Amino acid sequence: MDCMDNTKKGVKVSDNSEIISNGKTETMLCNNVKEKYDIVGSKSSLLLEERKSNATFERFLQSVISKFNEETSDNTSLSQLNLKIGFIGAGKMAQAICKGFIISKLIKAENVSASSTGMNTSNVESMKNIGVRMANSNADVMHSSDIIIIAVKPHIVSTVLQEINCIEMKSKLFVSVAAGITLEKIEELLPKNTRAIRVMPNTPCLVQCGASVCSPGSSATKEDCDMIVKLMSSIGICHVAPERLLNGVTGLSGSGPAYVFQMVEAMSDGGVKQGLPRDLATKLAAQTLMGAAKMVLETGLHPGALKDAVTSPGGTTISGLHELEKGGLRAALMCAVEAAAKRASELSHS
Amino acid sequence: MKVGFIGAGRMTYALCKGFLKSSLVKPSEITASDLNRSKLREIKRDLGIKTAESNVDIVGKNKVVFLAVKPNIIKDILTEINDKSSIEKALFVSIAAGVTTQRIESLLPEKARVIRVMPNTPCLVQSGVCVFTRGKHANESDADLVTEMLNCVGLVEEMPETLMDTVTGLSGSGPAYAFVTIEALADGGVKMGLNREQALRLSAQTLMGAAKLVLESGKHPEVLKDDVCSPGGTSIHALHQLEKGQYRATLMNAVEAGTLRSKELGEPI
Repeated sequence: MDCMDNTKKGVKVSDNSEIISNGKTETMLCNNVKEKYDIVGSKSSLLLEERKSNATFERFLQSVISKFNEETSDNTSLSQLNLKIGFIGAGKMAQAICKGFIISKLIKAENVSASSTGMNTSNVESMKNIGVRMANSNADVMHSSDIIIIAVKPHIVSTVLQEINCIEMKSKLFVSVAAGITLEKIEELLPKNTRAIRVMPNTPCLVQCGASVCSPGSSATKEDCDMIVKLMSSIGICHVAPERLLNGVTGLSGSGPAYVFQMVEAMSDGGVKQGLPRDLATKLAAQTLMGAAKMVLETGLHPGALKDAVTSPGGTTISGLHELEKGGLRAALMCAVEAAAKRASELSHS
Repeated sequence: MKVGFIGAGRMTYALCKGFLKSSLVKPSEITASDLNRSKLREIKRDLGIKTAESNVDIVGKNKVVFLAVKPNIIKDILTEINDKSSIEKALFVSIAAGVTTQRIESLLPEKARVIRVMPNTPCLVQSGVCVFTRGKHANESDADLVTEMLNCVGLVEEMPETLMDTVTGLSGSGPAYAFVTIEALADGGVKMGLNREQALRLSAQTLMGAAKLVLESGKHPEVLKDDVCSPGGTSIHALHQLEKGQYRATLMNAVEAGTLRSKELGEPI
């Protein structure tokens, strides 16, 4: 059964067998496997089974739909543009981005094509499951799209762009998510004055919680940029910044998830040491990090003030925090961002 | 209002100076006693206050009696002045570090009104911190009076006695941490080309000014830090060095060590 066919049917309140999709909370029925996406900002995550006997679920659904209608009113107009998007490269990032665009209803699945350089079967399957047309070649993708997302590994960007090089490229918008490939390099490989935008996304785009920064190339217009921001916002947050900041961005949000994975693991180890079972420890650790981050993003309060609010005099938290200070956590994180940014810079010059 | 000081050392000097400056009391209303005659002469000469021959005199004639002697002679002093009749009229304000109100009360007649203060050295320039705690019989108006008096030399806060060790570790010993910081910043300045006097003035004023910003702006220190650290600028680079040096942890450790030592010292001998 193809999940995306159902998504195309849209949203209905009364029929419990419909797929509910609002770009923020998605409950999908795919090949009898229930996938549940819960995003920062959604009030609850309800499993499909609960719907059947749940009047409150209906009310939740109503609120979700009205929220969706408010928020996606320009999404509708965007989707009315019938934008055709192509992905050169069908790996994890391409899948994440693609899925996000389609789920948010910004882009219709039938308007999306992708090519996989190595024709990696599992990638191809995943893309097909999302409802995307697998093209025969990179050139095919290029010809059938208005916006082309270059999502191949950095070392083959050059090959790919040279391969599809033709004058027709001039009318398209190229978006590269290849780490470390500068706009200068990209623009060299495209016909003169072709519009290009470079994006540094991050892995949580896969769960629609990404942090992306995009930098417009010399010919990209404000509308191009706004469009990409809007598209990337369907899988997290997206901000515009000049290219010179992208190494810093790489060091921070690009590599950042890895720092967090380490923190989750370490906190989990701490929990296990104190007697918690591993599963519980890991879940608590991850949820704590996510929840705290959510507080920073949603309250708008300074992290220092948030810290003060939880450190009562002589209490447990301040004792724990002291150990972090002794361990130089702050410096370590600053150094990590710096090292990664430095490396990004080295790599982009090599 | 008549104020007496048993002990005429630096703190007494600072407090008197403060009181006189704020016109809270007249010089003729202050009397001090001290074993050290030259100290007495000095304070009398500089501030115009009265002096007394004995500690017992101080107690009899004054509304407020400051016990401004070193902790190790408190016991002797209190034993000496222990005279029931005059005790009840006076409010005893002790600034002896680490000596609890219970200890003082145990050496005085039963109903003695005692307040204990942990001051700090910047009281000498009317920018101190005085934290006080009430003994069993000290009342609201005693607290208000002490607050008014100590306000002449800086910030005043009342706290439960259980926190006095922490106060010692923070504001009591704190000036020392600041002195070391100032000296180190000055060293940095000298290394980078300033002459010593300039470096010292800049460094001290910077610390004072920053602290003033915290006290007066009401903004969180981290927000103030953010305001100063522009992207990729000098401040954030410098701050990174502090973080690498675990500056924050070191200061936390210092306050903790000071507090713990204060507790140790406070244990009854």
